[in-house]
Amino acid sequence: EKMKTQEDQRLLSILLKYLTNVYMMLVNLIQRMIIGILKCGPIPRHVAFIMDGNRRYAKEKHLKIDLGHRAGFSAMIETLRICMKAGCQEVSVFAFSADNFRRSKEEVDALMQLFVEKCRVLLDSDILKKYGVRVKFIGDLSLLPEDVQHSAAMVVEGSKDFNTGTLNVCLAYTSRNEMVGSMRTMAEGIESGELKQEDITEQLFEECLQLRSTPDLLIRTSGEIRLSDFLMWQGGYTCLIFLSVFWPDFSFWHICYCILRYQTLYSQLSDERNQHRSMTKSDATQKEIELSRQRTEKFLKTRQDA
Amino acid sequence: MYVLYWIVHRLILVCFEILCLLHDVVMQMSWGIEDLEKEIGKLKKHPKHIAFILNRVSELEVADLIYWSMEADVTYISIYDVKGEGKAQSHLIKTILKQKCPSKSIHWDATPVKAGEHAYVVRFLSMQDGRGDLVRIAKQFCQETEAKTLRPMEITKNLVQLNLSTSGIPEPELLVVSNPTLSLKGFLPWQITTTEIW
Repeated sequence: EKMKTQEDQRLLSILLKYLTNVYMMLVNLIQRMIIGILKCGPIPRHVAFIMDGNRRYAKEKHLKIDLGHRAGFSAMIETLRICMKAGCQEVSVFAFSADNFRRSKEEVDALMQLFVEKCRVLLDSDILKKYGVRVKFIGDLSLLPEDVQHSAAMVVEGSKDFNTGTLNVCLAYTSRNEMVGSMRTMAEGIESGELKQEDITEQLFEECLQLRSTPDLLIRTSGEIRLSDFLMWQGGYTCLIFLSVFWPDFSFWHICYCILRYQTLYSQLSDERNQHRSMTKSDATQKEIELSRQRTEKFLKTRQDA
Repeated sequence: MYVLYWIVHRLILVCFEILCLLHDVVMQMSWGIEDLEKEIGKLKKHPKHIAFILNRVSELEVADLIYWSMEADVTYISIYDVKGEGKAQSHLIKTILKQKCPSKSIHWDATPVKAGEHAYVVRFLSMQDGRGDLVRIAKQFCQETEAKTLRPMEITKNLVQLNLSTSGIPEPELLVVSNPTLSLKGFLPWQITTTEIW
């Protein structure tokens, strides 16, 4: 009789496994269909996320804060997967602010350990390869412990040949630091003679930022309605969406909602950007503009290769 | 198959827009200017500085915005529009406000309010005060670098803060944006770290 219950248990587990597989296939199919429908309209090329709410999520579920951050990482990977499937080319995430070092030593250490661990997971899994995503780290990495810097460098090295999409992870990042960095880069260009005074424009300022591509959509979870020193310059001509869901709960349906919002606001956003472009036309002569463009392109290329 | 997807997509977009409209109505998110005082009252911390990003400037509407902000006891009020129409029409707006509330003391020239002084500061801003201000500071630093009075490594957050044209005026706690995309259109990128966006 004991053998009969064991046999029953085995059959039950096989049945459960089979049903789970069917369920996952159905979910995948529905997701693919919905993405196919969404792709009939404009899809944001670059999406940015402020992944807020891990700690509150953990508190609500009576878990340790560390587990909240881990759930946040899974949500990030899932979000990346869906964005790439939907046709986005660039995803930026705000992982850790330079101001977050002020949190308790215990939490910061746990976060650093999590980064090292998850960098390993990223390298070992095939998600980056499957979607052709290269990873870039943006921020003042010298503020981070050595092992985190090393892991980050490994991930960048391991994914540098992929060119379907880009994942920008903002680590030890604040927007103000980024803007100061841009000013320093331009001043260095002047100091070395590569740039002239008339080359210093709003456009050059933007191109000297570490994250030089403007997001089309910026989403912040957990209900806070501020930018908290994230992409404050680049967010000028971006569609902002604030959701009250906590980041670990951010799912496929939330992404669909955000893309739909973007699609309904797309024409307005395009108008605003066109208006901005027409306003920043310079008064200089054609020849001066061309010379300036050549200088700045050469300067930016040397900086990018560095 | 793709035609079917396209039809479904159109339907979904229309339904979505209707749902958003209903949601706004139900949640009473589209409130009028007069409700500003009530909405501000709901906040945990009373804002000292409120900023408005406008698509287009009509003198009566702007005068109303300023009036109701003063009624809500907000000391610093900034009106931002990309093209600078607010600046162009500022004298008209001043006249309207003088007629509406002659007793209120308003600094139009952006001098900060001293402690104990009961006054308001109203500023009209445009692109050159937002992103343009940071570009101006960058140009100034580059000129100093060329004149060898400044090294690039000496450019810090504090140095930028000191050189901003808004120094002395506190950063806005609240930003009211008039377009649904909530895009900031180059508004003061440096000063909006902790600003709540409505």
